[in-house]
Amino acid sequence: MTVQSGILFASQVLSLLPAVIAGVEGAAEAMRLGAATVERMVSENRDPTADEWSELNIRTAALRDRLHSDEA
Amino acid sequence: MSTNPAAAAAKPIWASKTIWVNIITFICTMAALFGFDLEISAEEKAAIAVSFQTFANLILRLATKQPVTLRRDQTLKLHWLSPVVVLVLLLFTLAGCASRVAETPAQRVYALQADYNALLAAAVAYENLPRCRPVHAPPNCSDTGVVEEMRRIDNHTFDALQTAQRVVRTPGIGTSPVNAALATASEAVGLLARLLNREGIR
Repeated sequence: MTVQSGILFASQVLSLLPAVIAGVEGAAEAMRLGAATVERMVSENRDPTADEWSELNIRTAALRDRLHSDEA
Repeated sequence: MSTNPAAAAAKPIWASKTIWVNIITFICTMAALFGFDLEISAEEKAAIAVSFQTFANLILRLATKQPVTLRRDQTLKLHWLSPVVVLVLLLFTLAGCASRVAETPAQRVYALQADYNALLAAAVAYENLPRCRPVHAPPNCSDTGVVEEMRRIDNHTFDALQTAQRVVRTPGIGTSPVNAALATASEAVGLLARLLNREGIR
């Protein structure tokens, strides 16, 4: 790798960071919430409550609204 | 320099999913010998292998002097999506996604939807980027076609999850409709995951 391609590589990585962080943070947060809730259900040997379904559906609806925001 | 077409077309060792699956299997076997049971299923090994394969391809493509594609927007899209998909897949497989721990059908549908939310978050981050244009494309843009496909698959996945949720929340419903709804929902979530993966490594 030459100095020029090294600088190019570094600049590409830096320009990607904000988008990568935003995407990964959102995904990690969703996973953390989901895994924690399911683990609690398993440890308590029960199915999701109506409130838990409702919270999950609200989170899904919010994400879907953003994905389809400018859809024709 | 060699111009052998077979050699030129040959897939490098790090681009082979089989190699990665074997490496992961070897690591699991060695860990088990030392008393660490990693409890990784065949599907999870395949997912981890795809993650490493994607990561290896990404590093190689970023490090190469030659552009991968001629269109600037495609190159930028590949650059943006690959790290996100790699990290999401790694988080899914290594940190433990919700569907890995679920036991009952209702827990599994809940977990599937939680995993779907994680995929949606990555899709939303991509959708939020400015759209790519043929000329003067902004850095880190999103492809209109990919966004439309994400939305179309998302509609299908959402419908499948809603049906599965209705089924598992219906008291006294039989095993057969529950299993069918779970299989459809699981396949739909997998479809969205594969779309993200495909766009990330293209």
